[in-house]
Amino acid sequence: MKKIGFLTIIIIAILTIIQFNKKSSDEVLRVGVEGAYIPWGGIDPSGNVIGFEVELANIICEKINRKCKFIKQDWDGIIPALLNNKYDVIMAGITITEERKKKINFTRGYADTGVAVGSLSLEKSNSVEELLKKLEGKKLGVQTGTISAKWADKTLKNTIIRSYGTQEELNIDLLNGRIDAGMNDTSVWTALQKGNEDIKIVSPILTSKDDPLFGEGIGIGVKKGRTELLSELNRVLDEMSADGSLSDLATKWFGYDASLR
Amino acid sequence: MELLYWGNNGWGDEIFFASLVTIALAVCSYALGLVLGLYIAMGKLYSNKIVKISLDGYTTVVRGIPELLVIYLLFFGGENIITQIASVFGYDGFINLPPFLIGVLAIGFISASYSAEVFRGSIKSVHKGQMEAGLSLCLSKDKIFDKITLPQAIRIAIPSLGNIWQLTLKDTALISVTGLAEIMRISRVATNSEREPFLFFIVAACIFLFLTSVSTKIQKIIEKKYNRSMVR
Amino acid sequence: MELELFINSTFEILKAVPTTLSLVTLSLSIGFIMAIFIVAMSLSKLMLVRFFANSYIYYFRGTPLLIQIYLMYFGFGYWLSMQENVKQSIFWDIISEPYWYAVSALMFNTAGYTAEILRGAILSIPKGQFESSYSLGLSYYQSMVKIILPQAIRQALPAYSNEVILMVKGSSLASIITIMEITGTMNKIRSETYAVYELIFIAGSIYLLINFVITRMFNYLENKYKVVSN
Repeated sequence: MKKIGFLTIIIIAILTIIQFNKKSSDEVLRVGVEGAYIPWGGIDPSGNVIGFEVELANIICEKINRKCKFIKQDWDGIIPALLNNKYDVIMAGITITEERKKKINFTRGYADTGVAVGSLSLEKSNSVEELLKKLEGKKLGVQTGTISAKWADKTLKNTIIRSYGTQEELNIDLLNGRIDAGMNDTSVWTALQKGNEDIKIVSPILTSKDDPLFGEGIGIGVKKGRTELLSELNRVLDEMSADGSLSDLATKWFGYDASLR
Repeated sequence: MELLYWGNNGWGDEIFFASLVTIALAVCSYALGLVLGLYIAMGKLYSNKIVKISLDGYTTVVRGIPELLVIYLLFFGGENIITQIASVFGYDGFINLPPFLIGVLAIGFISASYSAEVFRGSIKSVHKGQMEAGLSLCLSKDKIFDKITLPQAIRIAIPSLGNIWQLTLKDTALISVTGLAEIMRISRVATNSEREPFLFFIVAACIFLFLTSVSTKIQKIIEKKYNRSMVR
Repeated sequence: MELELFINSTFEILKAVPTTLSLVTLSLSIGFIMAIFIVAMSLSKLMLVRFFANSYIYYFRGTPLLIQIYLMYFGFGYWLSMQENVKQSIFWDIISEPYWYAVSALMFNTAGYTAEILRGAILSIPKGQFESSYSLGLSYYQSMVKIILPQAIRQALPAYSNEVILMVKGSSLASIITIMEITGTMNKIRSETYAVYELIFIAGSIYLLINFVITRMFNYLENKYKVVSN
């Protein structure tokens, strides 16, 4: 009986050690991506990740002499997984906010496309006040754990807020009308428009000028304590920003220069 | 339908490998659950009051809260616990917590609490006369347990343990929230990319139905084998 | 976590308890009635009817509840919402809400499990009961309802109490389709404040409390309807 017990523990140990080999090494940079957030990072049918951040990561890896390995992670657990060492950095369209800075460090921002509301049926608002009025009594979809979710929860009092685990699930419901509008990074709506021309952006593009909750741009998340990695990444980003390659990359994926100086 | 092909154009190969991960996860957690459950049951039956009360607390809590919460606790809180435990031992570097391990631990703990109850019931239901006969043969308590009580208890426990296996298998779908590439997660990822929810989830459901049928058949074979000496 | 935040979170999560409870009670009640029909069908003499009932039980017990919920909302619900005539109809308010999909999924699920429990209980009732009720002139339907089922339900109480608790735990999966019941609310607060342990403690304690009350209720029922069995 005890023998069977030990045997099973050994089998479990072996199976987990096989998984264990993915620990941090100096040649590989493990990048955590959401893989459901076009055009920042999405997945194609062969299972590969593609997107702005994927290309950016590959360029960065080349410059710091490491091989990039992309690890998909649901948005909800993207920070805890970094803290659990599932990967070394987060590049998942994660906005730099004060709240998040308490848990992890960020590099300087590399892009910012602002936050907006996309909808099939809502009329366009030109200011935040108009937006608030138009959203009364409507159903707004947000993604859990995003700055939009936090802002919506804080500011919208007469709107039904539905929090989805992934942006795609939000899109599914937006397209079939079960929610009237969705709020997230502007690039999400522009990407959605490519397949569905009826989607319109019905709000002004919101940034930290409208509410500090909207953060200071998208950056790379790094675990606290890894100062060397952080400075390496910052150096590369500064280089790319100076020589224009960051702007070119952003224009390629977003249609305009969404990069940060 | 082309979405299900093997290789680069379809999700067929991802789904296949995800099924393997699901099976591996279920097997490991179930095994962990059995071993842990047996020790917990023994603790509840044969130990002192303090151990008994704390074990009772453990099984009540783990069986009473949703599995999602147990998984969230281990996933979102895991790093803290491990790092703190490690720093007590003086280790401050990185400790890797692979998602597979978190999955095995989470579902293993849940499975263990159910298994413990089953073992406890089945051990108790072994006729007292058996133990007395063993004592009269001068066997030590450990030997009695190993050679007499336990084999009979296992036979009684097999149907319920089979149920727990089904439960464990289905609970693996919940690990999708931590990002482990098992069936549920792959189905969600594929649906999100291709926007074809019916297709992928029906495939996932079929895979589970298949696994469940195979498990039921295996369970019947095991039951037959263990009941060989019983006269019906 | 500061005390104020802790207290506020507790209140916010407590406000979600009625949602959880309504999900559970609705699905359990309708599910139970469905289960009775399904059990009757599974014991029928017609092979086709038996096949349907058994397949139903097989599907709902063989697949994870999570997949069932997902298929209901993102599969069936998606298809339903894409139909133009549905969008204009008066049912749109119900169809666009995830709540009813969760109730449906939970209800179908519990019907399958409960049917299996009832079946085990019915089959364990001695044949003598059927025979004596026929000899008294009662029809199949009357014997089932007046003699067999009451005894079966009493037999099934312990197993059913398990099922009720499983449903309470299953309600936490409704959070995946954006319903703000206990787990969903807890997740929302967690994603904003990153405080894991405190929130899981609050949510877990509430679930434990609910399950404790349920266990007590069933203990009472079991004692009240206790019968000295042969």
